[in-house]
Amino acid sequence: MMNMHETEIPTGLSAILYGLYHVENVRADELYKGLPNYLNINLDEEEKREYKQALDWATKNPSFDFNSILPNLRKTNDEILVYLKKYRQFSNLFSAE
Amino acid sequence: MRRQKIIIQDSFGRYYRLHLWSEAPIRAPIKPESFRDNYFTWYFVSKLKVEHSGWLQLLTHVSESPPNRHLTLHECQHAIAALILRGVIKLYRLTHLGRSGQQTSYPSINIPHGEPYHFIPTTELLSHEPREAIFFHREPTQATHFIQQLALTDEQLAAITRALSSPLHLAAGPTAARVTQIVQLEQALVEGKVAVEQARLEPLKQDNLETLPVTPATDKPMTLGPHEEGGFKNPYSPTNEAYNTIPMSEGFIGEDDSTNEKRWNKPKIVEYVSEDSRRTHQHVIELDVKDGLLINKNNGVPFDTSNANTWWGGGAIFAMDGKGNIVASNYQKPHEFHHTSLLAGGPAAAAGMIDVSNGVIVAVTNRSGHYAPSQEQITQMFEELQKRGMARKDLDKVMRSGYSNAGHVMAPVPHGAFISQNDFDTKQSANPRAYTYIPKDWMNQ
Repeated sequence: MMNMHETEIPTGLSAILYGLYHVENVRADELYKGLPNYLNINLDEEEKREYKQALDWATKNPSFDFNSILPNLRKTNDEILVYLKKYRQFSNLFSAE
Repeated sequence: MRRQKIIIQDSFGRYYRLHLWSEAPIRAPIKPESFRDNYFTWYFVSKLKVEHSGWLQLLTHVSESPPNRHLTLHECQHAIAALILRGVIKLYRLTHLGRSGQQTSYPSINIPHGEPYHFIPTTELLSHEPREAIFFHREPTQATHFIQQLALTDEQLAAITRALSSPLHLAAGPTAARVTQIVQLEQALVEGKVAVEQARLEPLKQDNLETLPVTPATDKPMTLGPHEEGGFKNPYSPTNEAYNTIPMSEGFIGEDDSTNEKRWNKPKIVEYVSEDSRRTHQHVIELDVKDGLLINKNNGVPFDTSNANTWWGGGAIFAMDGKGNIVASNYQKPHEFHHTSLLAGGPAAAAGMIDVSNGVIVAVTNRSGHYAPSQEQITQMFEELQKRGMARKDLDKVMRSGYSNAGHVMAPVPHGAFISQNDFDTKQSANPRAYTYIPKDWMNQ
């Protein structure tokens, strides 16, 4: 599944992208409102750091083929970028910065 | 077309016959439980003399959908190992071929206040009834400690190394230094090549294997029994379980194996909960129907997903196996706990999200990245629920959504209407603007 960027891809990226299996409309803000609570409950500090790294990496690599990370995602790269942007915006991962 | 018999050899010179799920069952396969875990199974598969293209061909042969042709040899071996563990592929040791009757004796080591042990190649364990053996492939430090506490004499160490030297190509004999012998023994333990077993080795069971009507290479094709002759009607088929099942997507195979460097969720591993462990697992709930409600099978409490722990909503994850066992969890965590956790990585007859309020099913979807099941498979779960006593009128009200079989995102529709709406995809195609379009091959990679 991976491509030539494999060694550079942060480990948290596939976990974040996994949510796409459950997301129809990546632009629906309503969907992301439960995200901060979910992340607080389920992620330890190390995992939060990995997620932040993944979102930072995605921001710097918008041309990366995100579909190559997981099978059957079937979202366009533009849709995935919107998803990642919303994820970053609505999560509380960067709130302390 | 008549299925070709697949006979393969391992690197120790032993021959095996692969017996596929769709063939008629016969006695005396190596028991799936003898393979113990994913790593051991993969190790066994990796020692079989089969080319990369051969594994791809076999995967094509046993899969409903063609495998990803870009699978590496390692990924193919993992996929085959998973199929062995699930019983889709069974193995018969053909003792009349290769090194028949050449069982090596493995010297026993007497330890104070305990049973004698011996070191044995892990693949040798397949020839015996499943029993407890100690594996160290996940515990390298313990392997070292174990050997240290044995305090092996030079003679014992030499005897062990000699016994293992042939199958494992270890350096042995007077020229091998003690430290070399210890290091290579530790390495063999850590790599999963060797296990430690209580030295109560029973004679190799040859009964069923030896009496099978197998004819060595002659003009007559090799056979394991009359069912392999022309005209035999297989009473079983891949759908001999109560429901049609689908395996997990190949991209997730090996996700529970910490030694698989290419797993999608590295460095985490997905927890697989075995059927025996479901009852006591903190996150897993076995479901049943009582008085028309969906209940926790083990305590009778109506199931409820209002506290389900996912940010995208939709309730709990659920899965049904081929026998109709329905399992759910209000917990799901990417990289660690998924639909595959509920079925221990096995095939699913249905999978998705289920929204339940105090035992009343509100909504069901087929959203599962691991299984990507069809809507027909979700319908199978409705059939099972009805069999268990849930009223049809109640089931008909359950809202269904997810993906249609044509790959469209499906607007919620009551189950009753869904069932009577056989041309659902056609209707959606007539009004594509109403739905987000997803390519029709979304389930086929």
